[in-house]
Order: sequence, then C-alpha cells, then structure tokens
Amino acid sequence: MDENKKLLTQWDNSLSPALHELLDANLARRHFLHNAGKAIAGAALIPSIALFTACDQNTKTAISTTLLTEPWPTFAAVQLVLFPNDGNGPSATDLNAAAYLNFVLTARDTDQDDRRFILKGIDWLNRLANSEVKTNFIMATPEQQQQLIQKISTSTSGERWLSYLLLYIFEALLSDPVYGGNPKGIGWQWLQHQPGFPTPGKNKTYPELLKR
Amino acid sequence: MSQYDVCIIGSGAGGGPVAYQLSLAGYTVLVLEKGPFLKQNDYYKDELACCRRSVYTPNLTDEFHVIEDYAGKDEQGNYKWSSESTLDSGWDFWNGNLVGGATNLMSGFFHRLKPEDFRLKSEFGEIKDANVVDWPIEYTDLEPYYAMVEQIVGVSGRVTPHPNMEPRSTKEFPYPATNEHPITKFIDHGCEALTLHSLPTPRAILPTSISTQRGGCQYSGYCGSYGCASGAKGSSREALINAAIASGNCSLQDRAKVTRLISDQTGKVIHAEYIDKHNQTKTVQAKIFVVACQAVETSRLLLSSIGPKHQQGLGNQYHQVGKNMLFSAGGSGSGEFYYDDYNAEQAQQLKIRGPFVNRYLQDWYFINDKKLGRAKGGTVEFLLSHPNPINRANGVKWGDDDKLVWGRALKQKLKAAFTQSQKLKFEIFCDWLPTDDCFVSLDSQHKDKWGSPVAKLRVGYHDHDLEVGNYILERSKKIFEKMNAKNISGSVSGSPPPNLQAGGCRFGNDPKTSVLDKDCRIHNAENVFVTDGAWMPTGGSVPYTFTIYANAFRVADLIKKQL
Repeated sequence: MDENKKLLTQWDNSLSPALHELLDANLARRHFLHNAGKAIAGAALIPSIALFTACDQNTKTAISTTLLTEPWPTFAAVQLVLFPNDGNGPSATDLNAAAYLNFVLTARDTDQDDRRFILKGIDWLNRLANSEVKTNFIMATPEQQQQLIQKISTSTSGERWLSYLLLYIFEALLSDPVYGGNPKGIGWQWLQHQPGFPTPGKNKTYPELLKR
Repeated sequence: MSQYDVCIIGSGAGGGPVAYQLSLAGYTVLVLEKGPFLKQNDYYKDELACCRRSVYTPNLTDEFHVIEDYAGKDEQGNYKWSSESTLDSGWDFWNGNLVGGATNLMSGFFHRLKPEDFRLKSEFGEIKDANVVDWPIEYTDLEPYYAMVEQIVGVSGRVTPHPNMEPRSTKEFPYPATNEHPITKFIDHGCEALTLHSLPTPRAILPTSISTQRGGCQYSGYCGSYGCASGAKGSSREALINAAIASGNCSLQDRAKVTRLISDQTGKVIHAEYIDKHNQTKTVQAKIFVVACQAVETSRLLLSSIGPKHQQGLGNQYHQVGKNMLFSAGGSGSGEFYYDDYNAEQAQQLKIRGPFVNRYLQDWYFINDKKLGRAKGGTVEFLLSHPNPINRANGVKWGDDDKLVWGRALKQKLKAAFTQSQKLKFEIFCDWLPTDDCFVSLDSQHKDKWGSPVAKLRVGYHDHDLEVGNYILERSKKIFEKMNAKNISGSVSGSPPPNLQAGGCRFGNDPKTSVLDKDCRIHNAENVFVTDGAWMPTGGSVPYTFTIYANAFRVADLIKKQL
C-alpha cells in the first residue's frame, strides 16, 4: 500500500464504526424530504453567529474577517474545485458558499459530530497534500488540487466529506437568500427555478422558528 | 387544578373536529399539543425550515422510534426482523408535530372511501395471513360527516360521475376547483386513448378567500410538505382550532407532552399527566379524554398508561393495542416531457409552476383479474415532481457508477436536470393489509428526553399488497406511453410511508379483537375516545386525512350525547 493510500485508510480507520454509521445516517436524513439536522446535548454552547444577510455591519465584518483565516480559505478553495467558475452559471465563490458553510457549522442546531467531521476533513486533506505535493492544499496548483480531491474521494471518509460539502454548496445555491447564499437569487435564475412565495424575512428564518 | 368537559390530546385531523364541535356547542375544552403553535404568518416557502431542518418535527436526538424491518427468513422459513432506531438510520417517522398536526403539511387529496371499504371481508373474502375485518359502521353512517367536512374544512373540486363513484348527499363540492396545470390536458388525452376516466381531484384547498382569516390559494407551487401562508389549505389549525379558540370555550397549550393517562379503580380516566414547555409536570382533569396523537403515538400513549384496571396499558386487556397498524400500500412512478419535443408555446405551458395537477383515476379501485380474482385495487394520483430544489440537486450529485460527481460535470448535470424537462409523477394508493407483522409496542431499551419508552414499530407487509400495486403500476405506465412521456419508470414497495399511518386501536364490536367500540370509545374505559386514524381496521385506498376528519366529527356528536 503506498503512503497516500495508507493516509486515506488511516482517515477511515480513525473513525469508529459507530461514528461512520452516525455520519451516514445524518447524510441520509438530509436526503429525505421531511427531515434533517439533529443537535446533541451541549450544542447550545457553540457560539451562534447571526445570519449573514440578516445581521448588523459589525457582525458582517467579523464574519468576513473569520473567512480570511484558516480553515476558511481552504474550504473556499475546495468548494471552488467542486463548483468552479467555468462560465456555466455561478461558482461557489459567487454563491458565498464559504460564508454559508460557516453559518451552518456555527448554527445551534448543527450536529456536533457533523461539525467536527467537516472541520477535521481539512486536516486530512492537508496531510494528503503535504504527502503528495509537499504543500498545503491551498498552495497546490489547480491541477494538483483536482488530483487531490479525486484521490480523497476514493476513501469512504473522503467521499462522505465531499458529499457534505456538496450538500451545503447546494444549499448555498438554492436556499432563500436570507440565509446568506444564493445572493439575489442567482442560483434560482441559473437553473430557471421558480421559488415559492412568500419567502421568509429575517425574523422568520428557521433558527427564529426553532426558538418558538 | 382546572377541570374541563373534554381534554383532547393532539390538535391534528383527529383532535381538531372534536375541539371545534364541542367548544362551539358551549363545552369547555382543553387541547394539549406537543408541538409549537406556528400561525399563518409563520409559514413561508422555505425549504430549509420545511424539509431540511427539524423545525416542524422533533429533533431525533430528543425523540425517535425504533423500527423493526424485514430481514429475510431463517432456516425454518420464519421471518427475521432487524431493529434500528430512526436516530441511527435517518428514517424519520415523525409528521408535523405542530398545532394542526400533519394537516398543515398535507397535499390535500380529499377522496371519500367507498361503501365496499367498510365491509372488505364480506366483499372480497379472507386473505391468508391478513387480519381483514368488516367495520362496525357503514358508509351511510359516515356520509353526512364527509359532507360536513367538505363544507367546514373546505373542499374544492368538480363532482364527476364515474363507474366506481361513491354515493353523495350533495350534488357538488362547496367550492369550485382550484386552477389546473396545462399538463392535465396531456393526462386527459392519455386516459381517453385507453378509455379510462381521468377525474378532477377534490382538494382541501380554497380557490378563493372565504373570510378575513382564510384567503384563497396563492398558487406558489409549493403546497405539499409546506405550511400554507394564506389559510387556503384546510389544516385543522386554520379550519377548526382557530375557530374553537375564538369561541372562548377552548384553551390550547402548545409544547405540552402528555406522558400518561391516569385511571381510577373503575377503569375511568381521571387525569392526563403532561410536561409543559417549562419542563414542569402537570395534570389536568376532565370528564372526557380524546386521544389523537397520530396512530403510532396514540398506541404508545395507551400502552404507557397503566392503571388498576389497565395493568397492560389503557384498553389493552386483550393485548390489542398497537396491533394491525396500517400504512398506505402502493408505489409511484414518473415520466418526463422534454421541452425540445414541443413547440415554444407548449414548452412554456409545461414549465409552469403554481396551478395544481388536479387529476386522479379510480378505474382500478376494484379489480377483476385472472390472477388476483375479484380484488380491492386502488387510486392513482397525478402530480408534478416536488419543487424542493435542494433535495433535487442533492440527488444529482451521484453518477451512474454511484460515484460522486463534481466540478464542470456536476454543473452540466444540474443544468440539464433543472432546465430540460418537466417530470410528471403518479402515486398509487392501495390498501395496506393488516397483519400480525405490523404493530406498535414499547421499546424496552430506548427512552425519549422525558424518560418515556419510545415506540417500537414492526413494519411487515403482505405480499398481496405488492401484487395489487404492480397490477396498477403496469397499467399506469401505459398512460404515460400514450402521453409520449420519456424515461417512464415506476416501482412498488412494501416500505411504509411514514406520513400515511393508521390503525393500532381498531374499532369493532368484540372487545377481544378490538380496542374501541363502534363509537371509538375504549371498550373498558367509558370516558376515553380515540379519533386519529388509529381506529381504522382497514384503511381503504385513498389518503386517510379526509376520513379521519369525517369520523372525528361523527365522534364529536357522540361525545356531546355522553356529556
């Protein structure tokens, strides 16, 4: 087994079988129509940021600053590989996909195991990048980045990690703009999707309803 | 401690009519609802709130079910069952834990049952390994209440005679049909070519405003799974609970989880115990208690309510509580219409989102077939594929080889999936035969966040259900061929749809084989009634909500007599 294959297997093996099952159940639940998301005890301790479009200027500035520090530039780079600027509709950058992912990972109802797994994925990606191309993912060339994403997708954990990231890119593409993605409905326009109406104002977003 | 005439547990299709009828008649009513009171101005077309976060249903970490599913046969040929919690599997069995219950989120297909549905055993005979029985009431007992629901809850449509039509006491629906999608012309054409009867779907949606509280449909194209923002949908909350509260006789406590019903030495229930939104345990006293928590949870509550005369659970003296659970059998299919195959005007019409695909078929409600003999069939309902775009996109990310697709290829796939065609679906509703392999019990290991054992649900099905489903499926696909649809596909499954549940506390004349009498009163607890779908011994071949509403109005009249 070559070194990189070992790394990927190590990533798979670093998660208990129970956690593998739990993460798959969480992903499956997000695929079912009527359901998604589970919080666990203590989730309320995670500081929750306000929705990007629904918050004041100070909070927006704080979020923008957060996105300049790791792991967010790396998340943004991975998202751009997954959803590129290829002349066919908006890219992950156009969709504010990194800011949206930040909103998801800091939301009170986000499962802590999901959150830890998604954040940990950046570490594993950089370990693979350093082993393969002797640099962090973000410093790799676009071709190298493509190859690294391809490589991690061959492991169970890697494929699951990419699957989570794609799901939240789709949410940034097609959820209501009040949540911070899909600015001015560019995702809906690109896919000629007719959104429903009325749409939620900032006081009627799902985190607000969960407080009721 | 306050005393009420009636305490109703659950505010959905089973609870709403009782609260409405009794409070308007001057009785004091308390409704205890586990979910929050979201009102008309809290409902928006927001896929995250509706369908991707636990907003309308409990968080599975707090409350879940244990599902025992079929897992093959052992060496002796006996069925094996695998047990898994819905927290572990992601297979969620909650539906609309809200004031108004799952009626907030229904599509509102409102079909009546037929007289034959009330006497399935007499009409079609016994089926081996199925517990089919006749009902203790007849269609004529329920007919006036179907008419009442059409008026009070609000059903729109056009009465169109057809060979399998049930008798009606009124000539028309009280409200004209909602606007129809142009694709209905395709369906009508396909059915006509096969001499089938394409019928306009009766729907619990108001086409125009009827009051300051209930506006007409806004035709946003987001109806099923979503709460209604105009009041057009005939949810229990909009049509019944709001009016009950406005009467001044009905109080409602939301986020009130009932843990047990406490009975005395005579078997009569004297208190309901519940945990309120501040996590305080309370009790309430009433002359009559009505249980309407949706079928699975109703059985769970009765089984959890041990008393001096109810050692095995309330009404469970003959071990019937939880037995003979029902779902809706059948399946679904679809075909696609590619815009490039049509001229610009037709393509534009196909793309429309908003009006309803108001079409259904009941040509196969009764079957005469060489293999099946004379058998009970089902209903076919047509609808556009669900508009939820995130869910749709998430299904596109897998390639034909089951590997993830990303980058340029993913974007091309997404663009094609969203912009090249309109997908028309059909859903088949058949009887889910009651068997010994579909039941609710209390799980001995898992508890909810309040410390109560969760419901364990075995979900075995009868092979006959699949045979009937496949009979209808193959014929339905031919309609799509006549419509020149592409990529026609479909499947029938024994997997239970969690949003279509009934049974578990069947009504009947014999206490040894039923939980409730024909008035839906627990046989040996004279002041407890069950009005969600749990009372149904067989389910019929249409969605249950209309019949649950109608029966709850019927039971409300019986409760009035008892008070």
